[in-house]
Amino acid sequence: MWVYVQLPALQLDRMQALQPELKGLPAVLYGQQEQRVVQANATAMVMGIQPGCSLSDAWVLADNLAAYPYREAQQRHLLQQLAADLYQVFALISLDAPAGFWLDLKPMRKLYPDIQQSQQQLMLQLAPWQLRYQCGSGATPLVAKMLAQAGVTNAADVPIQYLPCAPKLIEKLQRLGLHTLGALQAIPRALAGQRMGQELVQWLARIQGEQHESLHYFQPPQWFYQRFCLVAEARSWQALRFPLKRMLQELEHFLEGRQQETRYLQLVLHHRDHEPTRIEIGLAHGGYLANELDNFCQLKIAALKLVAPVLELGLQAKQLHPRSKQHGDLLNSGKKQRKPLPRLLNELQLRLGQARVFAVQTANEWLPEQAWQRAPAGAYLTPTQGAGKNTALTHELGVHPLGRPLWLLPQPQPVQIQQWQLLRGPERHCTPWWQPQPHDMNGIAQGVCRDYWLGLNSLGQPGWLFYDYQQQCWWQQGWFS
Amino acid sequence: MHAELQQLIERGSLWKGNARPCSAREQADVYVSSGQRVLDQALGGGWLCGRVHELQCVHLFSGELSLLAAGIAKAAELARPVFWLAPPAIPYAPALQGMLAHTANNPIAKTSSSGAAQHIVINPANAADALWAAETILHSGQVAVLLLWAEQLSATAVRRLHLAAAESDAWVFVITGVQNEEARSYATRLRVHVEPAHGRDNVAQLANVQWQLLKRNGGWPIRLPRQPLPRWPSG
Repeated sequence: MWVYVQLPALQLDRMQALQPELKGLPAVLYGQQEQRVVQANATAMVMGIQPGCSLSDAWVLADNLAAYPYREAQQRHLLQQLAADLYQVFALISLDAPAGFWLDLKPMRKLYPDIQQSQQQLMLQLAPWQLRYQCGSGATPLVAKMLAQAGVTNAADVPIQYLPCAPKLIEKLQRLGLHTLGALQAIPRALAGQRMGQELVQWLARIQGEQHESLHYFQPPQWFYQRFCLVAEARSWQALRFPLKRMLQELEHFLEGRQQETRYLQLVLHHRDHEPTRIEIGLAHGGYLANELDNFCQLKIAALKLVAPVLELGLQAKQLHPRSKQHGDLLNSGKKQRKPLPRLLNELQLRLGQARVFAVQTANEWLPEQAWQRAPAGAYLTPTQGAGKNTALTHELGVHPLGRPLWLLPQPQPVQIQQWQLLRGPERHCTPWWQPQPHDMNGIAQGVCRDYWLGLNSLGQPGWLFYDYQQQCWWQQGWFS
Repeated sequence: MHAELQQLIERGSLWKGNARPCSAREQADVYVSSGQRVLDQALGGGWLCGRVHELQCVHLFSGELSLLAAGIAKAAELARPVFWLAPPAIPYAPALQGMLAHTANNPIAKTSSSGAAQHIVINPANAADALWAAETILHSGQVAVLLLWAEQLSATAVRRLHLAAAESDAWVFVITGVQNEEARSYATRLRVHVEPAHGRDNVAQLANVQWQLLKRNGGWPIRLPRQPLPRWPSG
């Protein structure tokens, strides 16, 4: 069983839904090349403007006409969105661009045993879109489509002009006095083939389901992308906030349906004459709540100055991951945890910069400056990985017999050794011959041979010093206090 | 009350037995030890939770972090992160790890989940960003210890920090240089003096530190006796 849904004015209906003030005016969408009306709203229809009539006629019929150009790409995009929404209820959807789609009810029979139920589901799902549509259901896709277009209930009553074949053939059939599909089907197939040619026979076979239809089934999109035409030009970031919020809500809906979270958002602000502004928002920890994402966008954009007024706003979400589970402590969490840690870290990184927020982690290296590493913020300080294999080594690395200083200077500082008193040492670090030699700033391979000492400066503060045998001088690398 | 007794109390040289009505267990949750007995006594038990404490260091790296080591260990126990805001150098991961192992091996310390330590280092570009970050972190409630290094903080900034800290259950420490004694809303103002210790026969010796409490909870300003410089537990 197939259902075809015909959407005669998808694009215009969506515009009306977003800008309710259009409802009172006769509004049309026209093709820019042929200057003909493509879609008309109810007010225009009452005034006698039909899709297909020329734009100049429409102007004659209604002098307060609101005419907008028809955009094929946007129409297709809207159809995709509609299908993505319907996908939650129907498994097999095939798009018939630009103005309709099929639903295959056969696989849904277990869920909706009665056709009434599926039609009710369809109505419920389409209601928030505020669209005008015509439905037809038939045994084959073509019959369903013809019924929807003709607006009749019985397949035999379908007027012949709705046959999906060439206009020339339809004219021939009409001249023969065949005005409905029923009349055509009553003629023996072989006879019809003799008179009208092979093409008609093929169409009839397809209509009756003797030939398999090859339809492309809709697959839900991998990424989220939306583009929104602003009602008025936006000159400041404030004016963009509400449309953005609406888009983020749609994004939340999208992510909710998939149980996913996003780690990358791209905002595209389209200007009239300028290159579009692209704003990238990378998140270290995924987010999916509209409010939360709105907050992140604000942090990123609050300081932004628009180079030109914005006409359109685009939002793209990539890097979709399954949601990470957050186990809250049911007993101990209390009321003090107002914001989850991943969200806090996201905010900090967005405002301060990704590289400025990090966690420290130990590394399995002997050389002091390599014995620690940056880790993504929020990581736990755990014993060095792989250390469990060698307990003796763990012991030496973890609780070193000589101890490690709390503070490591980002760069070793040269010191005057006369001002220091060496207290404990030496501890020698040499790059073993079998290891790749670290490179210095000039890219020259350099082995390291250092003697580490604990020394006291003139005040008596304990510092971590080393003598470098190649450079033959003393350096300070850390503080013990 | 007797005038002489009052004088003794004001000087801080008298310990009051019933000053803290809360139980020892409650006290353990609210106070975290500074690791130094004299200082703990002067502070009335240790660093108070949900307050901002100021550490004025005449010289950086004069053992100020060792006073906060117990707080950092406590953070791991609570499984909440430690934030290092604008530190003067890199907190060295092996030493932090070493301290955890140290306290875990210590039979007196509770053998808790020492693996749950989260250390988050933030290097903001300027002081305004640092303050914003400090406030955001405190408001989130996701922090056990917040360490903020700052050159100087205005009275408003301290006040805001104080308000944010009051509604979080975190230990907040501001580490600065020597500041003048204008009133600020810190719970504690500690000045750390370092001076060379003169050992016998010019033998190298760790410095002495003297803690001067400019402001403290439940007592008058006080200068504590000189102590050898405290060291980081694993150092």
